Amino acid sequence: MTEKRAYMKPTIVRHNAGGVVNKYGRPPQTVPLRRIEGFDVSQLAAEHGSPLFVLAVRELRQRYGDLNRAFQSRYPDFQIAYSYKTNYMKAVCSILHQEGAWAEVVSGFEYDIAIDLGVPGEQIIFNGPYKTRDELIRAFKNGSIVNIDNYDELQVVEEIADELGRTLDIGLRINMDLNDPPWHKFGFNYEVGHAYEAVKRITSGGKLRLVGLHMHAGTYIDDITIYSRAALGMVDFYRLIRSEFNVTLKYWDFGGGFASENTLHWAYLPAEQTCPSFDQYAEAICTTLTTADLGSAELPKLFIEPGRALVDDPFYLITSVAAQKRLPSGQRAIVLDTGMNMMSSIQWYRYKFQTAEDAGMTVEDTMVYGGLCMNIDVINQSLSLPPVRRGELLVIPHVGAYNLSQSWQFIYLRPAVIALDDGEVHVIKRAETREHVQDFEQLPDEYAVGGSPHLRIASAG
Amino acid sequence: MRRPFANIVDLFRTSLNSYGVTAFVNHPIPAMLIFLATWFHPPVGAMGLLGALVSNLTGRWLGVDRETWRSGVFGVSGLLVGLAVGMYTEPGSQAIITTIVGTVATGVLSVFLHAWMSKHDLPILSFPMILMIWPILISLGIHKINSVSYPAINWLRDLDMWLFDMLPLGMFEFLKSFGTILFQENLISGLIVLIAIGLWSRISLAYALWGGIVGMATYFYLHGSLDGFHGLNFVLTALAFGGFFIVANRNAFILTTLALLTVGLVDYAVVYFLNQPTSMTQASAPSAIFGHSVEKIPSLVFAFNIVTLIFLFPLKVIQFIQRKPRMIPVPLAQIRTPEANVRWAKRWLSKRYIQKTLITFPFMGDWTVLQGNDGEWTHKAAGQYAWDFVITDDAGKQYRNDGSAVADYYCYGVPVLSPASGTVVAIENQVEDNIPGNAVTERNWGNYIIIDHGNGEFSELSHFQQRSIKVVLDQQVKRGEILGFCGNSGRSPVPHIHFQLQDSAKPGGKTLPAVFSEGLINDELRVNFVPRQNDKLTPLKIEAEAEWSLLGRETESWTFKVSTGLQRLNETLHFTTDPFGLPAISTKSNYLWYILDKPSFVEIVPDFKTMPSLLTPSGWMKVVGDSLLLPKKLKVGFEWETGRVLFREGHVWTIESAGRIIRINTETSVIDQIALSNDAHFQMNLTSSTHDSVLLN
Repeated sequence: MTEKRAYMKPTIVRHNAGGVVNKYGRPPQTVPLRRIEGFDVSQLAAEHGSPLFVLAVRELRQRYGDLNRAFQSRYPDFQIAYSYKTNYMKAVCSILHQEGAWAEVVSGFEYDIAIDLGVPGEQIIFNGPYKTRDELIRAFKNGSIVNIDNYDELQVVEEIADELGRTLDIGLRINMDLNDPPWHKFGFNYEVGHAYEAVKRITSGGKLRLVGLHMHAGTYIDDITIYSRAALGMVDFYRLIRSEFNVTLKYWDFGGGFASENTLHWAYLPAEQTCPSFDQYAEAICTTLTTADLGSAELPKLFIEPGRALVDDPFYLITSVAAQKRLPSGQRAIVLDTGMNMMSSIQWYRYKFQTAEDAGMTVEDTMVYGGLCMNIDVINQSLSLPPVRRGELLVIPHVGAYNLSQSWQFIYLRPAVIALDDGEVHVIKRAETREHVQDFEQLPDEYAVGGSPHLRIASAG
Repeated sequence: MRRPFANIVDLFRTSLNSYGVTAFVNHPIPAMLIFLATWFHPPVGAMGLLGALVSNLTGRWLGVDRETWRSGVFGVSGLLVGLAVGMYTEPGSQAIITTIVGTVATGVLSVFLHAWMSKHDLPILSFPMILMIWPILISLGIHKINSVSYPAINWLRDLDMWLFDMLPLGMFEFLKSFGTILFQENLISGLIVLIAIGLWSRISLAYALWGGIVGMATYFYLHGSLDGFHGLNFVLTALAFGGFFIVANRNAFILTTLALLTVGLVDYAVVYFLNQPTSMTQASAPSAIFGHSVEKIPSLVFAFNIVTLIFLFPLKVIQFIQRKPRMIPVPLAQIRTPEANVRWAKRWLSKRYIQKTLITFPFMGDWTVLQGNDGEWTHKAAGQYAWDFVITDDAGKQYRNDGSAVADYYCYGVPVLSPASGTVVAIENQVEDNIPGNAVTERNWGNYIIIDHGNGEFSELSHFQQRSIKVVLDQQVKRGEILGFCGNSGRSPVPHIHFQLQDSAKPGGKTLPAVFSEGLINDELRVNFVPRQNDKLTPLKIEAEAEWSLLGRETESWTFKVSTGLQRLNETLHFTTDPFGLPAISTKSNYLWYILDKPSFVEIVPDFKTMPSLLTPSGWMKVVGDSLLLPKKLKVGFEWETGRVLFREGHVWTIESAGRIIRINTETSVIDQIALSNDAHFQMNLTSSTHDSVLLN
């Protein structure tokens, strides 16, 4: 007996010479992704459900190795501190620590995760615009690196120095006019002299010792000149504060912001063709620093704090088509079994979609909706996709950055995360359950369904 | 269950080695022949075996280092004492008991002398035996010496007698000499020993024969006849100098002959003194052993021991100062057969270039040696001491993607640093980079830089990226300064850095054997080493300056990890003051070391008065010499009269002090020695150092 198949409108597209690059890049990608790290995508979905986040551990370690190699072959004393906020799943952080990464945290919550994983206090960099007094005290007691963001925080840290009865080593977050719009939210500005004033105050106060400078130029920066200009600015500032205040730096920290292989919405060309290599980033920063004349000073330790560049690419999201429909405009549309709550980065990225099976070369412009019952849940307004049916699997590569740490639970339960490593599958996060979601909720007896609302009135009366 | 059995096997094997060492043979088969040669008179053989076993057991019981013990060196004298007792006294329970007691004492004496003499890399020879044998013989009654009738295996004795009749008189004396080194005064034993020596080494055999000839001639000259001739002192001296302790060459031959003549004189004097009538010896009447009169106390191997020590000691001291030494003593740990010693010396001389420049890796980060010294591809002949460095990933690949473009290679475009300070004297910057796989041989070195270090040594770095060189001619460069970027120009099929230390400013000058001063090889800290192919190399991260001083730490305890030829021990030392209020360091047993405050260093001197123990101070002597010199402050680059601070890695400081490389961990308070310094002479040894706190001879 043959299965009765739903009717599907035939797709008619203009004939296009294959393989020619136009101004939008290469012809649409229709290469299916059947296997991840040797595992059958459909098998993984059958066993662990759809949607499903998949981490390719080998790729993650390789990304770390590539980035580390690029910098350490260009700078004598270099250290990566992984930016926890990008993805603070325990397994992800721990694998990177195994590879040698330190931790870069921006809240007490993340600080606890790092300590809990066994990261020594001295290998944690504590950044961010809002750190509580207790968190700061703990960080200083543990010997962590603390970069100060604002005057109020500076004041708190000076009080802590009094309280602990010793001089505290601190770093200073500075910002520069490097990009448009500039990142002025964080730290003290270099150009208008706020940073200079802050150093003056720190060195004259006698309670703190300035040992580091920290900056972070932005996120997904594909213009490497921003980094070389940042490095030049940092060198100039160091020379200034060294000659004026006799500051000797132990480290300088250039933050992160390196691009991954995802394409931004407004980009013409796909990211593989535009995003700089790790070597180029390293070149831009290190060459400027190592060739700078610092006089008698030693080169401080160089930190970078990558997040996206490490964890975005090794993660895949397996999702399936929940429905397909035709819009009044004639455009084809599909609905996925996951939504924007699991893909916060869709506000930046035009995600690449790959089918899990060979779906043919014929593609059609498709609107991709998320499965949330909200009109705004649009994943991609115009995706060239071969015809796909309900239940067919799609794979979205490069989804490791921010999507998991920024995901929110809304009407559906959040999916599992698995790690594929050398022929083995490890569940690194179980799929959410309703008990988990409602664990902290409390239902007072008088609100119970079937309980009398008059009870409350009676007792009040 | 296996343990006791294994220990017994170990004891017997070690004792067999003792038999070999007696004739300067380090191989079980000749050692077994020598063992057999002692059984001409079975009771004598048995006493010898007893002596060897007891003496070795004593060494073991005292707890000497297992490796040294296994060489059999602590049993040699016990063996000889046993043989001598067997030979010169009446067999019986008295002799057995005295031998056991005597060889225990010999074992202790061996350990004592080893602890003392190995400091100077000197062998103990059979000194313990000559110190112990006379008390033993005297206690057993010298008067019996000549009255012993020897039980021997009859047919062997008949054979010996027959040969005695067959050979001319001089020939018999000559061949017998080889047996006398084991107190076997018969021709059969002599022949067996001679065969054993021949199996071991032709050089040894030739020298043994020469020793016998010179010995007989000398003896005849001094005594006017061959009566009472025992060749043992001559044969042993010839074997010792004949390629064993000193590498065989023409000068060594002359030295050996001079030593042999000296032995003749000394032995003559010894015999003269021993023959003076004393109350003990008056009772003894001259008699005969196999027709040869042994008068009174035998002179034994006194002459050999004294002469060998006196001739060897100065060589050990002088050897390394000469650029091209005439005679080369072989370090004890290095001794194999005389033939192997010759090969060792050839290698040693070729590598014994005394490098003047301290060189460091010309790169940052982890690199791998693609081709080392004497490499399989191009590092040959005058270019043998060169290295090719590349960057590899965890899978060992040098490139990403398919490696068809130079930019795929991890090391392409990465900075190349100056390995030491100097002046740029030659630059080529215009050669195009090759496509991977296409090496260009007409401009061999591609883009290169040559740096003059101002001491006759030049660094050549080559295959730079086209127009990537950042320095100019005559520019002064510092160690670690960026010179340019790694490329693929010249004879370079894949991007890499070629580095060599050479003797001229010409590209491709004659390479000099060089060592790198410090770094991690395969993640292990090493100093003064020669990286080999496939080694992973990492420069040290030298942290910002800090200072530290040993003085003013009165409340702290420090652990000194000590390794000696005898024992491994950890000493925990407490800073304290002595009863007169002087700063000192004490151990658990209250032995004191004084801290002397010198202008630029701190000297820790053992207080010998408080040190009755034998083993503990000897361990100290080994690690610190007569005193330990530590810098007053730890600061990278700090130098004082006898040393300098090499580098710092975290809390671990590495210093060079009085020819030693010492590591000080200021956090865990541990001081240990990692290797001898190559300061002038020892660079060879360092390449074979493996673990921390292991001393190399």
